[in-house]
Amino acid sequence: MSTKQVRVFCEEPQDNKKNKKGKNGKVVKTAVLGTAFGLCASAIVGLSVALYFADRTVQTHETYQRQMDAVYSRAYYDLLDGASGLGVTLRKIGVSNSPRMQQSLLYEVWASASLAENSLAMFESQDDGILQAQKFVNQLGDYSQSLARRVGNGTPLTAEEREKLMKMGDMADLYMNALEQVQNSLGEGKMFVGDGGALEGFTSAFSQFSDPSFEYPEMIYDGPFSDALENREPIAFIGEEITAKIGVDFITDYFKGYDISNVEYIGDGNGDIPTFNYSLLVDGADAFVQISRQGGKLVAFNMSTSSGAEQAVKQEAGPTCQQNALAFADRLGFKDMQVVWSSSMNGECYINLAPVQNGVILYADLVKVKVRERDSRVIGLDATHYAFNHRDRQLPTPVVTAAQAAEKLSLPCESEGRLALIPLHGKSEVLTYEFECHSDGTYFIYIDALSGDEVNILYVIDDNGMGMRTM
Amino acid sequence: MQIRKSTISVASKCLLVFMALMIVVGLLVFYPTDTEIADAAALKQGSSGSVVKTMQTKLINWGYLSGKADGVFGAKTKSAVIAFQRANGLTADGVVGIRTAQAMGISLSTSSSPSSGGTSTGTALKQGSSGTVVKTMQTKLISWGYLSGKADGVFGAKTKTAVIAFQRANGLPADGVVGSKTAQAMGITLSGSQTTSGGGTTSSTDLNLLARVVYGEARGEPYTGQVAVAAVVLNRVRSSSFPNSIAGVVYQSGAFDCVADGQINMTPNDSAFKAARDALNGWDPSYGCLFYYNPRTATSKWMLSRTIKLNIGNHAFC
Repeated sequence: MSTKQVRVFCEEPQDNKKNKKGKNGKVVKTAVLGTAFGLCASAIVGLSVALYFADRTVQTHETYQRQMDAVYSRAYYDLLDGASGLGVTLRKIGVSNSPRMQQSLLYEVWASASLAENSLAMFESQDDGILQAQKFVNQLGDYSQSLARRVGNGTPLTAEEREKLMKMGDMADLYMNALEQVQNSLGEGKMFVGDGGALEGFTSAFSQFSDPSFEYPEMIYDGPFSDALENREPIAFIGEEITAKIGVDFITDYFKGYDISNVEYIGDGNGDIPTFNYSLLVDGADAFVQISRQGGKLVAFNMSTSSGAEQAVKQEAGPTCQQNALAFADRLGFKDMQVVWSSSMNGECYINLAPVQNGVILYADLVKVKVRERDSRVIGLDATHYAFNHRDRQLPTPVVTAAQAAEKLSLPCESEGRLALIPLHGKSEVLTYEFECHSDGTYFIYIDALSGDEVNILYVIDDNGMGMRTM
Repeated sequence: MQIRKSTISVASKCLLVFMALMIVVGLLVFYPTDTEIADAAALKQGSSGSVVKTMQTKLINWGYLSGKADGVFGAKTKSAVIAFQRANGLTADGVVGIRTAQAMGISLSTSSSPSSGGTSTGTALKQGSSGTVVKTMQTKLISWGYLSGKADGVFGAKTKTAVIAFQRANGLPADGVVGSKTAQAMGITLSGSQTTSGGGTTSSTDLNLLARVVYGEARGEPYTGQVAVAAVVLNRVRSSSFPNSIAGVVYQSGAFDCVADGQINMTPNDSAFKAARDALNGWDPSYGCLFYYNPRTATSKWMLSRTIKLNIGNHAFC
């Protein structure tokens, strides 16, 4: 009995335990199942959402990639069009004997080169081969345009020029070869963009253009990209070589009347004008000054004025600013200067000064002065144009009188013509009469003082962002 | 200005460039152009009107003319103009053309411009106004410290307070309304900027684009370093080895980091605009450099192999 009782007694709690275990197991099972189900459900939902967005991202990415590819493809085929026209047209010029035909073909070369130039610019810029190829088409277009203009004026092409054009035709062929290499990879179904795209091989196709042994015909002519304009020399700034220490003395001298301090030599400038560079405080504001190593001339000086609200209120921009600009330039050694242009914006006035030689304004030799209008203080000067161009010139004697030149104008003129030497296409200069005329705005018209031809027209635009300027 | 060699990034780089391009093209298309073409006509004996009067007042102040400004260009005014022209090295013909007008600080333009001193025909901006002009104004107020936050183009109470503060500081009637005088003082145009003109907008947008490059590439640099960055862009435009327009140079593939990382789309500050303007006016501290890089961060061998011509701040120019 007792054992039974005991057994029963002992069994009871075991049953209880079993029951409890069963209940707990169910709860745990439900919880596990619930959690698993929840996890599965959220994983499915999450995955579908992620997949949906991933798919959309991939789609968007692909759309952009295709669009980019279209942009590159268009540039490439334009480039091909431009380049293929070049070689053939250049050869035609080589054999043409009629100036009229030559001129029209030269203009064709110009147009093809412009197309090729614009399209090539769409591709990678940091590669020597591409840079040289770009230079070649740019110069070729510019050269052809200048020759076309000259042929139009009655001077036919020389044998040497025709030979040069033929040689350029050969180079244009190389250009085509480079492009065809790219075409081969496109033929294999490659896109421009993306991994292993045709863009990756694009620059290497042009590598021969940067080969040092590659001979370019030298292109010296009358145009902005002429080889003659490279390696400019500061002919106006000659004199003894100074030291950086002496430069400080020059600065002290140039800025008499200004409160200058902390003059510090900060390094050399080894650009087209060799300079010593200094930082200093002028009237308490940071300034930067460049002094030519030859002769210790001030080539450039610039400072930024604080952008306080005081500047917003426009002060009198009148004569004082111009007089101060002239006086400052005079002290730096720019003599016989005249104000030829001034333009004001945001409390600062840009004043262009040009030297006058025997009553003729030398527009190529500008010195630009920046003046703060609030107190008419000079806050910047740039004499690079002067440095590269100013010299004693043999000026021609005008053949046409001012009155005869005025008759060539189509507009009534307010000013009497004044003599001005103006730069024209690159390095050449022309002696002209300058007239200020008004119609639907202000025009400056330039008549050649020797031939009486109209050589340039400028139109004045009042642009709020830029002040007054000419185009 | 560095090349990233990683091939993986090429596609995403192209994508970014394209997006930046689209955004900027959009901005450029819709950005207000403040261009006004001067409808100028010279003043001479027989002319009359408010501009003549302004000119006479100036001539009287400077001692070239005596009496009262009556707005009529008579013989006496002509003599005064001749005297002024002689004193300022101008052709002494008694006719006030654009050069004489510039020297006098008057505008011949009949339409208003901030420098004309005339009255603006534009609608005043006040609380409730919105648009790009408001945004331009806010940007200016922010850069001058009158307003904090971001320019959103909506003239709210905060903007009004800022305008009142600006007016007080500049001796203008502090009414919180931007009329012609306040607009003039701020250097914004009320009428011009509400219309988008088709032609002659090149330089406003060019200036803007150049300022964006300066801000995106060199905003922590010394002022001259900023001018030099803008000058490099312009030197490239002039160089035969690069595209022949500012936009062409700026958006050339791989040319500028700020295009690749989108920083070109940030709103430039006053200093960036000034630097861009200086460069457009001919300042070039680098004297013809076509490249620059930061020697501390540059990785491109091609770039590092170039001869440095000048160092300004953190940039080496070559």
